[in-house]
Amino acid sequence: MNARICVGAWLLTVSAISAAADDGVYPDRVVFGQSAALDGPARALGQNMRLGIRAAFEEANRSGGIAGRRLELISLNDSYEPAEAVINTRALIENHKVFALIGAVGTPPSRAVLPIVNEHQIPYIGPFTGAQFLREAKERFVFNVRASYHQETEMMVERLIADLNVSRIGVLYQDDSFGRAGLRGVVRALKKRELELLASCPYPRNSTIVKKAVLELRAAKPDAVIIVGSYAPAAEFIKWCRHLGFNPVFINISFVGSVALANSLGDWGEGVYVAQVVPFPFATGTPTKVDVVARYNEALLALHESARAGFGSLEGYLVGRLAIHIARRCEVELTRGCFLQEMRKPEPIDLDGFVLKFGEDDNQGSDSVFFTRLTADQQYFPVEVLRRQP
Amino acid sequence: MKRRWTRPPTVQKLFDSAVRLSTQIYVAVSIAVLTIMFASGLGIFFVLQIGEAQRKVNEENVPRMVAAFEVAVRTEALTAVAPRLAAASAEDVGEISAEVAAVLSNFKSAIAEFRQAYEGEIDVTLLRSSEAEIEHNIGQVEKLVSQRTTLREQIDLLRAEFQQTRGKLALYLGAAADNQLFYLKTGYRELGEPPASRARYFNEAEFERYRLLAELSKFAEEMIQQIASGFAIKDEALLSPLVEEFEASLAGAQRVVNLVGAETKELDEVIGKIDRLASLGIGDQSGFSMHGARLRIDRDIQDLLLRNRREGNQLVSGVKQLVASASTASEEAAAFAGNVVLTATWVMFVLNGLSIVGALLLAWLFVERRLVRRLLSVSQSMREMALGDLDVKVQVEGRDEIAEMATALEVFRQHAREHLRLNLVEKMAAQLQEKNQALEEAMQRVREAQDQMVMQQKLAALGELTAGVAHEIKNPMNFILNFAEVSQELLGELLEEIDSGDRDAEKDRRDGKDIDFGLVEEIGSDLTTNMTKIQEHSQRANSVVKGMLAMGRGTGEATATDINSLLDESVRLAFHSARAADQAFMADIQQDLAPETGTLLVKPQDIGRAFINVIGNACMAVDEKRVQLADQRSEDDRYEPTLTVSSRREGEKVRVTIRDNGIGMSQEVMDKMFNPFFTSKPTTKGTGLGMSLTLDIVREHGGTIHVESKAGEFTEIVMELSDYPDDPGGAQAEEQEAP
Repeated sequence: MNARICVGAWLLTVSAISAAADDGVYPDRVVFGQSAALDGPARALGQNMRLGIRAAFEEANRSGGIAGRRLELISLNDSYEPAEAVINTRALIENHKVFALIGAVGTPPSRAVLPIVNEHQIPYIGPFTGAQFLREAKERFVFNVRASYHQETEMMVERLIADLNVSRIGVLYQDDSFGRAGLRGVVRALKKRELELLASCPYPRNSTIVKKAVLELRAAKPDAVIIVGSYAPAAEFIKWCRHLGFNPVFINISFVGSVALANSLGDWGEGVYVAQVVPFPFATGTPTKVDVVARYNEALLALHESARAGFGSLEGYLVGRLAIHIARRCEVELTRGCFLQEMRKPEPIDLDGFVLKFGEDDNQGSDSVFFTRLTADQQYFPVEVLRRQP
Repeated sequence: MKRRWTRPPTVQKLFDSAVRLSTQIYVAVSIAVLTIMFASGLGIFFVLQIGEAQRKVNEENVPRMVAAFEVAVRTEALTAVAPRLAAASAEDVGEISAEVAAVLSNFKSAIAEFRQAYEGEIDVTLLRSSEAEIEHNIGQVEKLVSQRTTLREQIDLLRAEFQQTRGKLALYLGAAADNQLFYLKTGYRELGEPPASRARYFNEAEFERYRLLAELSKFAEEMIQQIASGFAIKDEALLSPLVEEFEASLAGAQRVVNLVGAETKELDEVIGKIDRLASLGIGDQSGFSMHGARLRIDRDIQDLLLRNRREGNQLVSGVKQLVASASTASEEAAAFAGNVVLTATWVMFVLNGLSIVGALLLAWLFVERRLVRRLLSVSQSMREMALGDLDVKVQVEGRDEIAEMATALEVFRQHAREHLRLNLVEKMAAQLQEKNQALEEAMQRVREAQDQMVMQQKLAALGELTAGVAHEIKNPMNFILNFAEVSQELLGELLEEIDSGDRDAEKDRRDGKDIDFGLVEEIGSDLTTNMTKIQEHSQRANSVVKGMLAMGRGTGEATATDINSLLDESVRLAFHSARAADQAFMADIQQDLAPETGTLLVKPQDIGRAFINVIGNACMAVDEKRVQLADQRSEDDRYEPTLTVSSRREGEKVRVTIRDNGIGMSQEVMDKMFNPFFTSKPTTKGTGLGMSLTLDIVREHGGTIHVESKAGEFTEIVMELSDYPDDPGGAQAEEQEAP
């Protein structure tokens, strides 16, 4: 009798709440939406994000989900094109009625989609971009996980100067807002140190037409080249540079797509640095101080036996874990309002060692920039200090 | 005598009926109804007039105006919708076409209606031609629009292709140029391959190649630009120069292509794309021509629309003129209607006023004064009657139903009153009956009482009589006794005497006395006298007893009775009775009885009773006076109570007068003296029945009693008696005469 009353009351509450709940929140599940580059030159980025998020979601689902709700992810391909991203996002919100947007990829798509996010006041969680405009305090609905490009480029410059005493720096950048964002970051970092950028050269977006840049940058003879671009043109550039005997320190911004870069570079990749905004994802066997990597690997394997760890998917996993963590806080009364409110709380969020901190004016959880170095056999390993290639 | 003119009966009937309420009401109502009918008739007349005017307007003018208005509106609508058709996108064109068709059909029907409304009145050929023109134009527009739609689709396809081609071309050319430059600078073509020798790459041909590639890029860029602007061009006239430019650029590109040669895969791609661009720009199926055609279509459409607008305006203005004329006609009709309305209003106003006044008058004069007031009066009468007041006469005015009602009510009232009275009478009769009954019973009781009283009186009288008789007898008896005693004594003496003498003889000597024979004689004479006296007195007693017996022998029959002796007896009895009552009683009774009185046929006991009563009263009266005056008068002026009993014979009658000088009677007492139970004596002394009985007896005997009296002086009672009549008591009792 008592049990029945309890269950009845609970059902009533749940149904009542779900009646009043937001879109995407059902008694048995909560639905997230993702518009990302699942196809085209940048498809690895979108696919990895998706993989990571799904690993995190399935991990949570295996232990009962959030207040009994399964986590679901709907992913649509926008080919890294802003127009597509806009269409997808509208569809996700209006047709699929997702609870929140998660794991979008790219600066231009995000820029295009941001007005829609603000219009619908829907949470925009962990976009795979370090663009500054997403990190402004007035963006109430965007919650970034990764450090910004400015932070990355700052770190890069720091490391280059501190570790390698390099001051002659050149930049290869994608000829779009993303590339220019990175370029600005480098210039700012150099300016902070009262240095000037030696040379910079763009390449057309979505192409590998980098040879002119190779020639130009080679002519300027920098000691390091910071590459703000995706893996295909980055790899082409690095290969030709090295082919020509021009071998500065190459540092890629995290957006490059590390594993794809490694695959594209092949042998040519030895000693190439890639900045990261997530911890080292590979289970090296050595105990890391970050348990989340272990959890991530488990979750990944649980999702796909043949899934391979990577920085992109780890970032996706972390983003997914964040979403789960915040949603858990709201318990049964999962609303966007509650979600947004919880996100803004200043208490640090410890995702098994990876700590995120948000706040009233802070919508970026992590400020961490890590460095990894590529080997000829396409393996990365984390580094604290840069060193020249022997 | 002048004969008064009377109305003939039918006319009289008429006049009579005129006064009737019903008639009046019917007349009033009829007048009211007639007034209403008249007013309605007037109203209807006015309304009909207005209706006629309206009809004209509605059936002639208004349809015309409406039709004309419709035409104008529909023309406007058509003129408005046509551009929309022209501007319709591929998805909307179907919808808008349908809309246009609808608007067009509306337009045509409006024209048709308009023609109908103006049947025969105006020349409609103008309309017809305009209509046809407009319709034709719309049809054309539709055709052109559909053509344009197709073209647009095609153009869109081309455009899409162009974008793709453009993007790819940019990539390929970019890459080719990039590679060529790189090669020039570094000698590298492929990553895996070793670089070419410097001579190989760093030569004129390669430079030329690079330059050509650059030029090709330029031409390609130009072509792309031209195609792009071609799609954006609005003015068809500008197309052909653009086409020329394109042709120039294409020629240039082709020239370069020829020069460059298709050595690399990329270049093949490039050339392919350039060819594609060429086809986009050149030829009938090229974007330019299509775009040009589209522009032409646009222009044609605009022309048609313009022409339509002009036609429409013409049509509308023509129609407007007609509308104006129709509207003036309508205005006239409206004005007329307005006038009619005004007139009607005034008339109605006046009628209403009259009606109101009439109604008020009616209400006051007729309803109030003639109806209500009288009804109220009647109802008031009814109310009074209901409350029981039947004495107030019902007011009857007029000769109508209400008067009849009042009359009926009056009759009813009177009947009711009578009825009430009868009821009352009945009730009273019943009461009377009861009372009578009671009275009868009372009377019976009284009679019984009276009889008893009479009996008592008689007993009393008898008692008195007895007293008297006793006295009468007592006297003689006394005498007898005395005489007997004396006689006894005398005898005794005698005997003694004798005895004394006798004894002498016997004895020798007793006393020696000799019988005194003188004494014996004296005694013997005394004895004889005594015996005689005894005898007298015995006879007297006997006669008294006889008389008394005769008195008590019942009331029986009337016999011839000697009045005087009766009187004498009565005197004696009364005297003794009075004496018995009061020892001090003294009266001088003088009898003046005329011998001629003789006898009368009477009931001696009764008459005797009567005599006794009267005489007894007289005795009482004088005794009373004596007692009264006993203190007052002196010895000299002594009151001498005197009674005078006289009788006289006057023919058949006998007059008996008893006069006394007693205390007399006041008028009051005289009035009541014959009343039963009325007495001036104290209760113990008299029953009050005496005189009443006396009167009864006298009346019964057909006689009369007269009384004369003066208070304090005298009383004289005169009885006139006659023979006992055959019907006793027949004579009426006479009123007492005042002295």
